[in-house]
Amino acid sequence: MIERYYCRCHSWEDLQTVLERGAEYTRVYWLAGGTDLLVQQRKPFSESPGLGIGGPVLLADISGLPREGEPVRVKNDWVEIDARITHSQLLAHPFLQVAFPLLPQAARLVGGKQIRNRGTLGGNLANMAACGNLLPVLLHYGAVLLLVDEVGGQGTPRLRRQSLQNYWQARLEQPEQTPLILRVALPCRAQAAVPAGTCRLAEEPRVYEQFYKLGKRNAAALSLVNLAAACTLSPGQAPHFHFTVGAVTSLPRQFDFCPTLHKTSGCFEAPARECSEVMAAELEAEFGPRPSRVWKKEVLAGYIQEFFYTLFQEADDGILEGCAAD
Amino acid sequence: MPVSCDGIPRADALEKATGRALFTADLGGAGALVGLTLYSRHPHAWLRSVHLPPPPPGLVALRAQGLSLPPIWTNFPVLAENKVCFLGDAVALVAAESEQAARQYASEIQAEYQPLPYVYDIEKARQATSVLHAAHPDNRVPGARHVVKNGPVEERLAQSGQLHCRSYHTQAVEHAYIEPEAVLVNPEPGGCYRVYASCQYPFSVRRAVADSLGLPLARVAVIQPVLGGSFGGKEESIGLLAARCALLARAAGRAVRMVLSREESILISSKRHPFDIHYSLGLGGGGEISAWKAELWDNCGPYSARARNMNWRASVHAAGPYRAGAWHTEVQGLFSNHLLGGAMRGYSAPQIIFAHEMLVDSLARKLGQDRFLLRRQLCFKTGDRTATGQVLSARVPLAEMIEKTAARLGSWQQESLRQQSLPWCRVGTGMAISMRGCGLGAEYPDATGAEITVQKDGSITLCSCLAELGQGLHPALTQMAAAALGLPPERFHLLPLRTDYVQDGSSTVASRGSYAGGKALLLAIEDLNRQLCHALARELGLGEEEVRAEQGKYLAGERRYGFEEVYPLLGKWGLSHTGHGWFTPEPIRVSHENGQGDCYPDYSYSCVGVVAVVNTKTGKADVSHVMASHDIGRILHQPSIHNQVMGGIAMGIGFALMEECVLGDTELQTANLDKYVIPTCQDMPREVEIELYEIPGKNGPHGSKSLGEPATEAVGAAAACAVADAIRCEVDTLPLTPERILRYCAERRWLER
Repeated sequence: MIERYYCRCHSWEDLQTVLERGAEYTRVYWLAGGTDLLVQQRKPFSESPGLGIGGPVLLADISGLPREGEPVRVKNDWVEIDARITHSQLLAHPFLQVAFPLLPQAARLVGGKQIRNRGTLGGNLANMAACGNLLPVLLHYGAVLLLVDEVGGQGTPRLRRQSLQNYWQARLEQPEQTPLILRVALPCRAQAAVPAGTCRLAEEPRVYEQFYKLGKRNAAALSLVNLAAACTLSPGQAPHFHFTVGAVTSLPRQFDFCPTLHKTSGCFEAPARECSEVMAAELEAEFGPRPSRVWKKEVLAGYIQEFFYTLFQEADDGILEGCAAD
Repeated sequence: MPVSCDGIPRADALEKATGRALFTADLGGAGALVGLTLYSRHPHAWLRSVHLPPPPPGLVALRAQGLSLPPIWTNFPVLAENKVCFLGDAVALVAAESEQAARQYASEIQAEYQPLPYVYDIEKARQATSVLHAAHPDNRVPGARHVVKNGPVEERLAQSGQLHCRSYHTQAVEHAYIEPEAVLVNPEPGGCYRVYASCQYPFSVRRAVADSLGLPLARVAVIQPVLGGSFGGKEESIGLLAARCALLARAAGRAVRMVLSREESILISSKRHPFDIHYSLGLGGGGEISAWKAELWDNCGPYSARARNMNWRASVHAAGPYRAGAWHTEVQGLFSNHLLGGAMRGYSAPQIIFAHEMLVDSLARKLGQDRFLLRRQLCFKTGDRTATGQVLSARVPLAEMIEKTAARLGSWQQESLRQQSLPWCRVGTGMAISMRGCGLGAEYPDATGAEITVQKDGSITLCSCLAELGQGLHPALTQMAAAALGLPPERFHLLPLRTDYVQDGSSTVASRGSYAGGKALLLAIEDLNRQLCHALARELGLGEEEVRAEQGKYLAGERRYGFEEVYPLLGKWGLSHTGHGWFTPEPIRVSHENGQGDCYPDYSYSCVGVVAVVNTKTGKADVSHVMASHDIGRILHQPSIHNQVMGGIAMGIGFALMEECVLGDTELQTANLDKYVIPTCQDMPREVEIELYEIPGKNGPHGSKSLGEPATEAVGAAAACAVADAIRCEVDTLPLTPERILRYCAERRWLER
């Protein structure tokens, strides 16, 4: 049985009505860009947020809800991003390009241009999108979600903060719950991120970051492997590496390493392989064995090696020497 | 007769771009029931029973029991009766007022199966670990064995001081046309049926419907609305769908519409069929090939209507465009429980070209020779004799193409190398050459027809027995007619193909749309011109021999008359306003015993060069540059050529790097386009150079040859050669996904440089 109902929310009051009447439906599916609707339609209903045969389902269109000012704004040491921001807006945003460069990098690798023009940050998270680019990046930045469960008497949505990790865990355990993600908040960073090729010692510590993604094609609907890689460089200390791995297992996972890197040692294959071995072992211990893990481990090693290599190629020699790597 | 090759705008472009074009699924069909199919849940099983619950009012349900349905095209069951042989077999049909009601009822149908072992791959099918059809206990498709034998191959292999043997494997590939199959069947008074179908060959659909309903062909009319691509795929699947829809329409006594979802389309449509290809070359003392032996097995799926023809072409082209002292090729099709294997743009050629081009690359490494120079040395030249004994009397431009492509690849490779910042990103070059017989050749007479009618207001309708599939037949024919009559293209209107208006001119396949269809149209124009000359002669009181048509003018003595002056005379003198043309090619005779004969009147030649960049740490390969050289005879419509070549490149990249239909035990794992990945514009090379050669052919209109299939058939092979060159590994299996490339790299089969 397929039972679908559609409504469009033009105001917070409309949203409140939907939230109040949500219990009448088996599932409320929030619709913003709409790029995942057909994908979910073809997924079994048991596989949240699949919309295959089952129901009744309310398709609640939130694209018309009021927008409050700029889609990206700083509030109380947090950078809040409207969850309805499109991937195209993310990748072109000048502040994000400097402050959180992995977000634009990851958004650039979502699907093709048409998808990026319609697909939203919130949709990418809520739909557990197969491309899944943004999840490891947001985890890497310590993002929290601002969810709406109800609208207050003043017509103001009441926001509930939830960590991204917990949100995903809850979605997996209670797939029928589909809270609306209104904003995504990132903690303001002590360190400024450094785009490739501009690493300087003027402000310390500095963070060097890159996002990597492997798909079968370039407009990849499906990530085979993705990786948010970061290196913190502090004078007198060994470089600290932080990796967030996505698409290899059902949930992304984060890893920290302080490998000893020698610029004279060639292409850093050995330390990269050591890191990926550790990651693969821990992922396998947590999620169990998978046939694809063998070659995905190789891909991870490749991306980490690339990260080490470009870091040493593009960063100033001075900063790395200052960080105790020869 | 001169034809401008600049190209006229496509009449259908605006309608398609604005969404106004009406495809089959868009057609009104008010009051039509919604039909759907219940498919098998097993790839191979006895079908013990199908229980249909009592249907509610207004709903129709059918199963095979009691219908006495004959198989169509020899062996395709419209509805499975006792056995299912693949996941796309139909076990029941339902039609209801709404899709929801039909699905609800279908979910209540009980089918009882007794599963049997299944075979998906060629090797197991060869071993007959499970047999699909009792009449064929070795799983060999009847009629799908072809042999080409020319010279003492075994003897020369035995004498050869050096043997070179390799095996290659290709995958099943989906057409991925933008419009899934759809059909609307209307029962009409007098026991007739009108069928609208998104099909490539309406006459084949008519046969399927007529046979299923037990009607003569004349009682069934099939109309082809605007088509959203086919590439050879909308043949068997749409015929089966139309037959099923017609059965439901007959049972319901009213119109029924069936529109496939993407999943259904991928499940039931035929695929580019997988091949296992084994080559043995004997080498002479001077580096020449003294013997070329090829053994080819292809996976035809559970039923096959095309294997006979596909494998014949495979046998002709299996040795590529290469000289050898002797040849022996054997091709055999096999039944399996995989998806249907059928026609797809290239019709066996892309798989074979991949194999013989990898073979030549590996031979060059073995001999320590430059790959491109070896191709230049071994390829056919003008006057050479092919494996089937045909003398290539027309100019063969392969050597020239190879030289130019090699030079271009060299400069592109240097440019790409300079741009690589990571030492493990490797740049490789690859080249593939091919020759393709134009049209159907000895497969089937390449005959077809056309009509041209001058209406009383001077507008002109064109009617072809071949179909516009989106490939550009419409502008090509319009342009030819406009040039021949000296009129603007806007005067012409090409009618959609319908089986009750024209006779069966065979299928629009083998890149024969403008090749054979254009020839028929020119004959129709000649016929019309005869009528026009006749009318003018009567008007002027001259003998018929005193008036002649020439380049859109009608000459009577010293005077030249324009079309506008002459066409009204047809009515005045009671003459026919229609010209008929039927093109019958010279008969072609090829021996079935040894494959010897002049297989095709004309050959198109291609050379594709590719630069690929491979990240050897992640296995990701990108095609960065393509040079596509094609000899297509006379250019008829330049914009269509550009589109064909670009589309062919995309399709070839998909074949080489990403596309593969994967089956699980009870499901198609690549069921939709989210799992079955095809290239997008982001995967296209950043630079494409197209070089066209216009060596006139014998048969085509104005000396034109073929491009539709040549545009793609060598691209995949060239891309695979480039990847192999980049990773310095011998590649034997497609597609070259990141996972497979990493596996090749891990095997450390590094090549000597």
